Amino acid sequence: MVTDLPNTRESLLIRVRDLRDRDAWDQFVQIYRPAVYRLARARGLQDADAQDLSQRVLISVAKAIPDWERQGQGTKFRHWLRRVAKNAVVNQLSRGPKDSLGYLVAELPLLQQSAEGSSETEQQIELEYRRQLFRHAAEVVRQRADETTWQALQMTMIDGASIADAATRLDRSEGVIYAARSRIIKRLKDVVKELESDSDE
Amino acid sequence: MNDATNASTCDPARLVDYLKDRLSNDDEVALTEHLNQCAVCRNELAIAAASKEIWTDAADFLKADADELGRVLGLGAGHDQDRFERNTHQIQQVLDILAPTDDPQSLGRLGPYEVTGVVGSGGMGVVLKATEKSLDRTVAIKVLAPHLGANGAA
Repeated sequence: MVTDLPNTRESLLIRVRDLRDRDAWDQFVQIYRPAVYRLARARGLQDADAQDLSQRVLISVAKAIPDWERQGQGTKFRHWLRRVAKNAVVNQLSRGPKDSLGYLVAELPLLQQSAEGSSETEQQIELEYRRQLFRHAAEVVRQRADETTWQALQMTMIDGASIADAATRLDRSEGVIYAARSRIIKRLKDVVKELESDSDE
Repeated sequence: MNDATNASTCDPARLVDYLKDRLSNDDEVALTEHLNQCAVCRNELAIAAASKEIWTDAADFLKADADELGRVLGLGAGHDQDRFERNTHQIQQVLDILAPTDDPQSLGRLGPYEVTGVVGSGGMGVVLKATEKSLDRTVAIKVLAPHLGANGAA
């Protein structure tokens, strides 16, 4: 997870009136920022520029929040954020870094992005969002689980060990490994669902 | 339930109770012993835990995360230090190409600009703060990293 990105600036920037929406925003930033960052890196941007881009996406979303508040909030905040952010990503990626920095820019390798790329971009950001959602949920689950239970999943599903290997290494029976990883997946599923729905539902 | 049936019986309700953390410790032990022998219940448990899509997504999404996970756990602590040194080196390289200046406030000249400071440095290059003397205005100049500038593809 890209956890070392600074995120105080967004927290200061946003003035959401409803505390519940504020939580939704914080959570959104935690998941969306690394998702945008990864997409930008996949498009060939360097670390600093990818961070810059994810920052700009969040700032443009934050700036749009008063619009949402004026609109009478017909849409759920979380859903609205996703939609606006997706548009912002498409805009930022198709515009390229040149005119957005306000610097006098020496010749930079420009981001190549054609018009037909936008729906592809939408799909990619959705995928990266879902990936990040799972990773975020995995961190939550891991913190709440005991180490052996987590390792049963980590070894067999992430590190590619067989059930028998994991059982030997953790000094548990295979039955324990099967049980533990199903339990972890169930919790992971529950946390993902919780993150996707609004907390008041 | 008595212990004899616990270890040998297939009981779907027990699987659900396990997933919901509703079994006693003893019952959990009995269930795991049962799972040692019973492939049907192992499969039933996996299905009750999550859909196939969730299992696949979890494997895909978390697998690529392994190296990042290592970083979170402190296995890659050298990363930031590396980046810091690379950036410092890069800034020095850029400052080295500046032309000499008479202005004591300036680090050097770059074309018509007197460079007065370094704003930042990243993967692509270095951003300099500079003054354009003729117009008396402050500008930021982004200079492509020397290693990229030397590379025809960049």
